[in-house]
Amino acid sequence: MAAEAQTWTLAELAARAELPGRTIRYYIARGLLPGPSKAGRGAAYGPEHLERLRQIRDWQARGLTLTEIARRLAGPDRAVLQAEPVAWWHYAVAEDVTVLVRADADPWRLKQIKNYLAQMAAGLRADNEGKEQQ
Amino acid sequence: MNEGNGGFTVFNVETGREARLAMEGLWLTGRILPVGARLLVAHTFRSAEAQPLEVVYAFALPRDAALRRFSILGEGFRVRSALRPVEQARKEYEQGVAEGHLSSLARVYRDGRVNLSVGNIRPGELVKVFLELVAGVDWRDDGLRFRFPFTLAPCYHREARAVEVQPGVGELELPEEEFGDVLLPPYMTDAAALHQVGFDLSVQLGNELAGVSSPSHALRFQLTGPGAARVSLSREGAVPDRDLVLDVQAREAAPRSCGGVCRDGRARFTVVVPSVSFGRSARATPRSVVFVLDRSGSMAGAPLQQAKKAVEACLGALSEKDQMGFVAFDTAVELFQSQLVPCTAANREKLRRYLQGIEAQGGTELAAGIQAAVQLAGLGGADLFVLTDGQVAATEDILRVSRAAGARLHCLGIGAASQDRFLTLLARETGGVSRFVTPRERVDTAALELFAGAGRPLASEVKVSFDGLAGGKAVLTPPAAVFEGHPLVVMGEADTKEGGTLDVEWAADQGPGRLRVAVKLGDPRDGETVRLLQGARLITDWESRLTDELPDGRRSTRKARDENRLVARLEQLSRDYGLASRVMALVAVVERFGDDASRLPTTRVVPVGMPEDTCFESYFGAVQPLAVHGVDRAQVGLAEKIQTFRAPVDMLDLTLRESCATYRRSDSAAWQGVLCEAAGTEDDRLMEAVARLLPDGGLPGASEQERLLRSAALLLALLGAGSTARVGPFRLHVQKLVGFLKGAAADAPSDTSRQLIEDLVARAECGTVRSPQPREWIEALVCWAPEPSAVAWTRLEQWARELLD
Repeated sequence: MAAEAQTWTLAELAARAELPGRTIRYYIARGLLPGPSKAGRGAAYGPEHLERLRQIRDWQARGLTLTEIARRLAGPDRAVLQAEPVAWWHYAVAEDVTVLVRADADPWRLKQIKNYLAQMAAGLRADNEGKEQQ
Repeated sequence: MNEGNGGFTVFNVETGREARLAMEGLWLTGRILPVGARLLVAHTFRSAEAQPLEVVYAFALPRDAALRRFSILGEGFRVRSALRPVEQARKEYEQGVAEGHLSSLARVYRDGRVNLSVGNIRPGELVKVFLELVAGVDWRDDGLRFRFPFTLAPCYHREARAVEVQPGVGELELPEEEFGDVLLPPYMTDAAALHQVGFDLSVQLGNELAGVSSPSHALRFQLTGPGAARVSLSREGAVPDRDLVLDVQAREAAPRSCGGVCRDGRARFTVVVPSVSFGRSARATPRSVVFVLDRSGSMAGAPLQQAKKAVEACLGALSEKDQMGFVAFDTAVELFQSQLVPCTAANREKLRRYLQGIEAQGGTELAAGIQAAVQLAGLGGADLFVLTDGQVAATEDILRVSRAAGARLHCLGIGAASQDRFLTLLARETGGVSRFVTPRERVDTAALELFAGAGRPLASEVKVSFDGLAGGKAVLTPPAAVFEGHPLVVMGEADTKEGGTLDVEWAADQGPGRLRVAVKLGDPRDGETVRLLQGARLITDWESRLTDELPDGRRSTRKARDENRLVARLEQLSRDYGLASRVMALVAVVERFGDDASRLPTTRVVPVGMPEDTCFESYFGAVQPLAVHGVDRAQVGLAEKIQTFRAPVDMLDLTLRESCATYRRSDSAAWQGVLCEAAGTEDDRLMEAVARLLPDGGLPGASEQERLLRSAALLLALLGAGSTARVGPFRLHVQKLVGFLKGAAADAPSDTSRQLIEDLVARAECGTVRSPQPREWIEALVCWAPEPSAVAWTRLEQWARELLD
């Protein structure tokens, strides 16, 4: 019963989380945080909101952006059904190599792919330079 | 502005539908005076969504700027902001938002970033926020450069989190412990569908106005008096992907003053004394120079290429007695040599090869670069030349390091949205001077100009006395040294209503100098503007020392105590001048009929365009930039989006075609200019030629005769391009050539050739040249490489006659 009674206004939640109200509203708008459990003047936020805010802060400290956090929170089953690709990124890795990557790839995935592409480009370039020197 | 549709209607270029923007337009109006600008920026917000909105617009303050107040205009109301300590302002704003009222907060964060938040805009409601601010200008001898940010550059910080959230959309977040709750905008590579920006400004120069031009926007210009004009955007609207830059030019370099009697009965004035009033630097003494080059990813493409060329050209102006050093930095720092080396031909050649290997990559650890350069320079009093886009966060920390280093820093800022405010401070606080260029101007010429002017000061131990002004005193201590091309600015106040004079005394190579300058007082409105500008300057200077977000009053370390004193000082300045600062914010809450506290507004941050010519991938792309073989990465772009994937296509061709389309889209003639410049213009030729000057001042050649002929031809070309030993970006090179030709004239093959050399030297030393000659003519002269013969000398003499007579 005691836990049930624990509801706060936005200002109270902000004070507890040591975050400005605007930041919390921004997180809600970004889908990082559920909205208040009841609408109206005494809009209610609870410990789950506080916990989520702590989690966000933790992820931020590890270098994740809000978009990346939102994707994590949305869970893994979200990206199962990919639609037909409509647009592609075209990476000119070397003069004779180009790689196509889905433009709607997950930013996480994209970052990963780009890392591999960078390695590939560096490898090919080193190869090339080696040949030129010979 | 068309009031009927709220100023602008924005259509999405791809869908053709009206865009649902939370902010629809930004319109800049105001007055540019000889000493600064008083501006009014109108922001139009509209909620096109079904729920109430909280809209946050992030922007950067221009140099020496401060917010004065804002008013909110809505359907049936107009409310003015109040100035409050930041915490109180935030509470009032939060309370207003929670109660469903229309609330607005303008708060300044670190690095001069501002968040303008407007909460509870109802569905369909139109709200305008008119923000008043004052801003400083970049003073020149014969005018000024005004810059206003229409976009906010992304910035580098070790702990910043950046990611590309959708193709072409980047997001950047700064750590909250250091930067507070500041929100940065999403950065869009395609700014076409964003809010529209425009301007309509009046310009009053005091002296006779020669003209107003802009390297950034197409202007409509209308002369309204001998020293006044009105400038506006010549097209319907522009997109927020670059700063507005205006060059205001006077007919002559004469002292300008502006001021008036303020409401408190005291007069406030600012006097700008051009550097030519301090004579000319006579003695060329050996120099020690360290170049500090920003090679971070954001410099990729034209900015880095031009900066490298500029360094080479600057070296061409040095002799064997001069010492040089070179530091390049990105995430790490790299030294050319671990000590200063004499500027011999061999060392220059080594540095030239070293420069060729420099590519743009990584972050911007500017403080580390400066520290390394200071260490390299040692105690010898070397001048440091910093070439950077300054797109960094936590600039207050860099300033602290630089102040402590005790070296003089001269800065060249490069960028469509450069950190004008920061780089001005960096130069000023270390006793140096700064200049700014947009990437579509010639970075190398500007660097040469800065380098030529920032050698030995024209005047040192500058003292200003106010005997000719009742109750006169300086509001800010004027700088102790004056450099060529950079005027002395005196900000002061007095009890007089009539004006008077002030006396400037200084020491120079030619002996002590003295000058009396008239202080004219005009319109009381001008006095009030000058007072605000002085306040904004003071606030900017003090703010630049406040490193932490906002100091916690509970801490009792020495640093915390210092910062608390700073906060108190800033609060007092804010109250005295009625201007916002890091510790005082502007807030307004409007209670409207039918305000509904039950609906939580949805927060939206207004996106801005990536600054033109800044490589998106350097912030939001791959961790390390990919090398694209054979093609300049910055020009083609790392990745090109292929719209549809239906049939086999030749990928590389498509990439190239698309990149051409990108160029055309930016539809400015200036851009075309940049593309042509890559192929080489006469300025490129001259830049390359002067970089080849040997330490003795002449061009290289197979024989002494060839050297003499070629050097004489180059001198003629430089004269033709408008440079002499006294004026023009190539003046140092002209001085060197003159020195060489004087010494070698005795070896001239004939009396006529000797006479020609003497004429050229005389013209370079004292004469003025007609307006710059046609480019083909100069190009022909620089590329001319004949055998030294009587025929060749006759040809050169004919050319000289065409130019000099």
